[in-house]
Amino acid sequence: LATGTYRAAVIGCGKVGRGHAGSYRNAPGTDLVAVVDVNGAVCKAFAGEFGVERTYVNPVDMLEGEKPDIVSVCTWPPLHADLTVAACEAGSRVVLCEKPMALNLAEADRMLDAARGSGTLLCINHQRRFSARYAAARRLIEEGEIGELTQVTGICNGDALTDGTHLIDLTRFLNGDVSIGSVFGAIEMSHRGYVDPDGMGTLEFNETRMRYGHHAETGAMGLLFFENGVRAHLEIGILARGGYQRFFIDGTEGRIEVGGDPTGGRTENEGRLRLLRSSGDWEELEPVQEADPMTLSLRSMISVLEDGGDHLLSGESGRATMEAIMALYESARARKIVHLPFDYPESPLEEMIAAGEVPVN
Amino acid sequence: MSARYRAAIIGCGRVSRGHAAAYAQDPRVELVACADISGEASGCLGDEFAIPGRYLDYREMLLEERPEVVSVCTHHHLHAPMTIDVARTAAPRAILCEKPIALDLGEADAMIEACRAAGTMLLVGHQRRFSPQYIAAREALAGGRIGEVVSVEAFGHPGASLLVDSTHTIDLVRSFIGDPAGEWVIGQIDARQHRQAWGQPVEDCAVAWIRFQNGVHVLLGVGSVPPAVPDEPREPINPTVDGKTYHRIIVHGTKGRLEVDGDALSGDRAPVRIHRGAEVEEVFVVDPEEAGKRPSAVAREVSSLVDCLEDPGLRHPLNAESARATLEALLAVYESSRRRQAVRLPLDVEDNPLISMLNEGTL
Repeated sequence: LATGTYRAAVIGCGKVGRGHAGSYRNAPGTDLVAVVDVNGAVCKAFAGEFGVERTYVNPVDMLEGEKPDIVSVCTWPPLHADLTVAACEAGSRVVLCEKPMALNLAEADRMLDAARGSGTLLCINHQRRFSARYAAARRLIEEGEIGELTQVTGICNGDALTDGTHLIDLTRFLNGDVSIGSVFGAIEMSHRGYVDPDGMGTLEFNETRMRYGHHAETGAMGLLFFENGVRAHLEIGILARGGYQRFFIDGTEGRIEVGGDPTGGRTENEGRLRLLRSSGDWEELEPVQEADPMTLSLRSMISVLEDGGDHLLSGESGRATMEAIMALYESARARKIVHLPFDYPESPLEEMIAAGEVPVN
Repeated sequence: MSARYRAAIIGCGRVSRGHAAAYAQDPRVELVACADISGEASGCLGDEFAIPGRYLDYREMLLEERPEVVSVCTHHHLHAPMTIDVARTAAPRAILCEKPIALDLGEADAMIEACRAAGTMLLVGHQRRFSPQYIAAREALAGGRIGEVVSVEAFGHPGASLLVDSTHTIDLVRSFIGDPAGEWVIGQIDARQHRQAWGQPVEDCAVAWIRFQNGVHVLLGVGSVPPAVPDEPREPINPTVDGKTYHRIIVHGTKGRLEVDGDALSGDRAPVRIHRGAEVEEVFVVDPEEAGKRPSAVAREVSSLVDCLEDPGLRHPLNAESARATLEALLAVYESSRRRQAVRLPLDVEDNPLISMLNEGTL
C-alpha cells in the first residue's frame, strides 16, 4: 500500500496519543496528517516530534478540514463518546478509540449506533490482545496444553475502568470470547494511600477519587461466570496481589502464568510467560513479538478495510467488556449477582457515589 | 477402665447422633442424659444409644445430672443463649457446641466470657479438622510438597451458605495455612430469596476474597446463583461440587496444586491429590476396610476433648477462639457487602450484618 492511502489524525496529544502516532509511522499505508489538542503548545510540540503538518485545537475543525480516514481518540474517557460519534459522522472509515470505551453503556451504545450508521470500523484499543504473551497463552489454551480450561485469575493494579478494562478484555480473549453469563463483585473506595504512588493520576485521585475525569474505585474483586463454565476471578487495585495484567490460567492439566507488564522488577515474574506442565517445573516460553501490539492492531485494521473480516478489538467486543465492568459495579450496588445482558444506561459507580452509597474515605 | 466423665446432650436431632456415637466409643465417658423439647426426639436418641436420662427441659437435666461434658446440638440461633446458660447453671468441665459457634461476634464473645468465668472449656464442632483426608492434606502442605502456598480456592455445594457450611470450609483452610490471623475481607452476597436454614437466615450465594496476615489469599464461593427470571432453577456457583462432595478446596503452591475433593471419598480417583501439570500424585487414598474401622471425626474430636480434660497442658484444636476467628472472617463477608468496601480485621461489629440488612429491608 502506498503511504498516504489512509490519512490519519490523532485527537489528544498525551502519553497514549504518542503510542498511536508511533504506530501510524510503523503501519504501511497510513499517514498521520493532523493532530488535535486543546493545549496548542502541547499540540505543536507533538506535531513537531512526529513530523505532522497540521495542528488543531478544536476536533470539529479538524474533522471538517481534514476528513481523515482514520481517527484515533486519545482524550480522557469523558470525551470518547462525543468524539467517536463526531468522527463517524464526519465519514471516518476507522475510529480507534482508547479504552475505556466510555463511562457507561448509554455512551457505548451511542458510539456503536454511530459507527453502524456511517459504516465506520470502530475499534477500542485493548491492544494487549496483540501482545505476544497473551496471544501465545491463548494458543496454549486452544491447543489443550493445560487440558480443559477451568479458571482464569486476573490481577491488575489501578481501577476497573482505567486498568480492569484490559484485564476483563484479556480474560474474555483467553476464554475465546465466550459470552459472560453473570458477574458477582464488590468494590472498595477507601484506604487512600494504598494506590501505587507511581501510578498515573494518583495525586488527583487521592484528593477526588477521580482518575482521567471519572470516578474510580481503589479496589475491586469480581467473579465472572462464562457461558462455557469457565470462571474468572479478578483482583483489581489495592486488593490485587501486585502486577499489571498478570494472569494465572488454570486447566485440568496445568497452569499458565502470564507475568504482566514489566514494572521495573516490582512484581514477580513480570514480562514472563510460563507453563507448569509436569514435574513441578515451570517451562519458560519466549514468544516473539513481531511488532508492537498497536502496530499489529493497526495492520489488522488496514487488512479489514482492504479485505473485510473482523477486528479483534471491535466496538462490540469493547462494549462486552464495558458491560462486565458496569455489571460488577451493579453487583456491588444491588448486593446481587448480575445476570447478563446488563443494559442499564448509567454507571452504577457514579450513581452510588452521587447517592452517598459507598464510603470514599 | 471406668468412666470418669458424665456427658449430656441438648438437642436430639440429626447432628446429636454423631455426638452420642462419639461418647459411646470413649470408655472414659458415659453418656448419661439427653434433652429435647420433643419427648419423641429424646426418646428416639435415648433408645438408639441406651441413654438412661431423657428430659424435656435441659436446665432440669443439668441440675439433676450434673454432667462434666455437655453437647449443644440445637439450631444455630440457640447456640449462644444455651451455651451461656449451661456454663452459668452447671459450669461443666467442657461444652462441645455445634458449629457455627454463634450468629454474630457479640454472641460468640459472650459465650467465651461465660465459659471462661465458669472454668468451662468451650469447643466448637468443626470436626473435619479430624477427618483423615483433611489431615493428609494439611500434612502434605506443611511438608512443602507443593512448594510455598500462594493462594486457595474453595467452593461450597449448591445448598451451602457461609455460616452453615463455609464455617467448615474456612476453618479447614485456616488449618491448611497454619491458622494465621485474617487481614482483610471483601465479598458479596446475593440473598434475594430470603432463605432460612437451621433457624437462621442465609444467603443464596456468596463470594469472598480473603487475605490472611501470612500473605495467603483465599477465594471462597458458596451456594447457588438465583435465576435471572423467577421460577427458573438456581444454578450451583460451582457445578463440580455437589452435596456429597460438600466443598472442594484447591491450594495453589509455587510448585503445583493440591486438590481436596471434600467429603467425596468414594469416587474413582484419590480424594486428595497433588497436580503438577498433567502429573497426578495421590496423597490420600481410601481403603474401605480401614475406613470402616476408623473412629469418626466427631469421635476423634471427643477423644481429644477428654485428653484435654486429663491433661490441662493440652489445647484442643477446636477451641472457641479458633471458631471465633472463622466466624469473624465469614461475618466480614456480610459486612463488606453492607459497607460496600473491604473490611479490615479485626471486625468491629457485634451484629450479624446479613440479619440486620434483612431486617432493614436493604436486601
